[in-house]
Amino acid sequence: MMRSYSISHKLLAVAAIAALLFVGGCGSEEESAGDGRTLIKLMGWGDTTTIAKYEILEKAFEEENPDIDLKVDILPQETYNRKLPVMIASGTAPDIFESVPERASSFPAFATKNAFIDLEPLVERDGIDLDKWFASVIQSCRYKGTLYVLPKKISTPACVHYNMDLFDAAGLPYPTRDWTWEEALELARKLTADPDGDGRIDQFGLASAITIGYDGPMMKGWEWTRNNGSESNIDDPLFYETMQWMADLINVERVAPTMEETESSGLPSYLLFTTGKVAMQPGGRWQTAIYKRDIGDNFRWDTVWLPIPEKGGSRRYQMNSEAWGIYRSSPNIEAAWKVLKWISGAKGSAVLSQIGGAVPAVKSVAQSPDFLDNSPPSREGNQMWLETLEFAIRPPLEPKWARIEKMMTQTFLLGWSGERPFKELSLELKPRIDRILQGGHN
Amino acid sequence: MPGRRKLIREESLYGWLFVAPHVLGLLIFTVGAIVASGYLSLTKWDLFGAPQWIGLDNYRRLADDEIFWKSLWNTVYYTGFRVPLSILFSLIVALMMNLKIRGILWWRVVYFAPAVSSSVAIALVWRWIYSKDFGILNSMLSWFGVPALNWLGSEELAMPAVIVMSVWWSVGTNMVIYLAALQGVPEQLYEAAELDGAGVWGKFRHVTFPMITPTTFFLLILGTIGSLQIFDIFYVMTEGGPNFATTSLVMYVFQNAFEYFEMGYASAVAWVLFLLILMLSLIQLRFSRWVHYEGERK
Repeated sequence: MMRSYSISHKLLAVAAIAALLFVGGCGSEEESAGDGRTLIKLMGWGDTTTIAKYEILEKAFEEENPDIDLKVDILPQETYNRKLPVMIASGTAPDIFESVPERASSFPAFATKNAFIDLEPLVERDGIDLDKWFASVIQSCRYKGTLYVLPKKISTPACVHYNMDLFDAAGLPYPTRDWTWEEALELARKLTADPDGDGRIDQFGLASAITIGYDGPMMKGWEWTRNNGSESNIDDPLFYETMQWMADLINVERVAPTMEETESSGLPSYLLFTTGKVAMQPGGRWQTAIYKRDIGDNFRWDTVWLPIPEKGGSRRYQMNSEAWGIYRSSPNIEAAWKVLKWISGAKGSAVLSQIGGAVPAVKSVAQSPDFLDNSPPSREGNQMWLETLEFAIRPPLEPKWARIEKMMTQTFLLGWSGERPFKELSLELKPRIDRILQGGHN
Repeated sequence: MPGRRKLIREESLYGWLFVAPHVLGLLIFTVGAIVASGYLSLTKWDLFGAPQWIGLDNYRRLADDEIFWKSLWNTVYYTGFRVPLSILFSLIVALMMNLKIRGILWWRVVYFAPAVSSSVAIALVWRWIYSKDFGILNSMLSWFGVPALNWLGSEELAMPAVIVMSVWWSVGTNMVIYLAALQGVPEQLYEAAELDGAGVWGKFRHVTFPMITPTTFFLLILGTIGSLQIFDIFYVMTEGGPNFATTSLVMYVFQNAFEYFEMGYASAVAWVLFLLILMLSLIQLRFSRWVHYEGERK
């Protein structure tokens, strides 16, 4: 999923990298807790709404497991992404750390290159029932058939957050489960307004669909590659026509703000929703926690399914989850396994669900009233997340896709901003991607 | 005299002891890192396993990596405009700030302000200036009938836009350095030139300019090295885009290392950059006869 970061995020990242390159060479800490307990270090990431709350996880675990001293270290995601590889390279990585199993740049490397251990033998030995997690999430946790990680939580498939008060004010019916993109456009036209009449739109019906990545074409049945993955499929009209349609919502229909209109306030684009300037915000579950905190009682809102291309059409979403694995060089693999079982299991999942807004990966936790009735969104809105999982698939996952995805993001920025048509960009980019796919590198 | 020799030995020992922290730091963290990256550039290494020796493969791969060539071109393009423009404008501003008029101190503060401003604030302001729909630049251009341009969002305009912003940002610091040099030019040289009948231009051409050439040379070398290593401005203003139009070599090193986990390949790119900097610095030193050092005999 693409997310836009504000400038301060980027600068923070620059500072973090500078600090990291400096600190990278320093030595490691003592390995024992000093009081007979086994020290297990766990590193992960969180956002501003969750970072401070991870103490709960530490306490809840230690209460039940007094023989282990769990040390949880949660960093901002960008810092984590830079710090972890350096720690692995220098052999000082924590016993347990997390990964996005759908991310081509890191997960395959972690899985195959001595970063994570193969969990299969431990799962078998202890008789862990993999069916307690949602099937598509467990599928994400495997790389080439081997299980390397267990789920932390589910960040998305995509959905739409919508502002019920704005719908009420315009006298419009709320979107329903089987609404189409055409209907979304109709609603968006009615919800786009310039009440002060200065020629500048003050309220947009939709937000830019850049936040849902390539789900648009995927829903229409578009595949990433053809010929057994040796050729990119972005020259398929299904791809560029759908992307163009999404971009036209911004640049032609003017029912969604441009990147500038969202970012000139210095805020990430999805925050326009919290101030009531956008009626419908395509995105994912990762936004929900932020909205819960920032919107409060200012207005009523809910989540609804992402529109489908046409009535009765199929659904397909990109999966996006987070998962933990055990560091291969951990001195205490048994203790780390005990921690991993607990935090990814029902108890840990329930605590994590309290901490952040993401969807629990354990079925029993996700189906409990604690999750379903935690409103907003409505019970139906929460239920939707669980059902979307049936339609979630993983993008291509070989390491070279990290390079390709970057090229796609960079090139298609010109499409989103209306500088150039998607068709032209796609036809130009395809041979460049094919060279990487067919090249010997990676 | 043995006592004297002992003293010298002792003094040199203490000398080494005193500089040891710095020398060790330099050897381990700079020289050591450079040597290590040289070795890594000949390997395939994803940070996790052991580096795997592949000889010159990484360098061969550079030859048909379009994004490497693009970022090399971007870096040269940026440096080629940014350095001379920055020196030119800094000199002009410094000459103005060297005038003996009322309130000059206040003006100096104004021109120096960007150098001490927060980079977040600066990036935010300039993104506003360049904004396609609301930017002050486009609204000024519209008075002359120029259509709204997407400064940071277009492949052709993003680089010039960032260069202009970067020159503006650097003028403050460079101006202060020039100002110090200008004030170090002895008054009697101007008097002598005046007696010889030199006007304002003559005095600048024959006195001021030669006397500040060491400063110009200093700014040229440092500016070139700094520009070739540019990272932060692009990262904040454009994230290297669109379509890699503002991806610099150092950004590409970073992407390969921390986004694609190809440390060996990243090291190879870094070494190309190192050789480029070395080459340009040597050329500048070789052709530095235009620099006038006081007290030096020609």
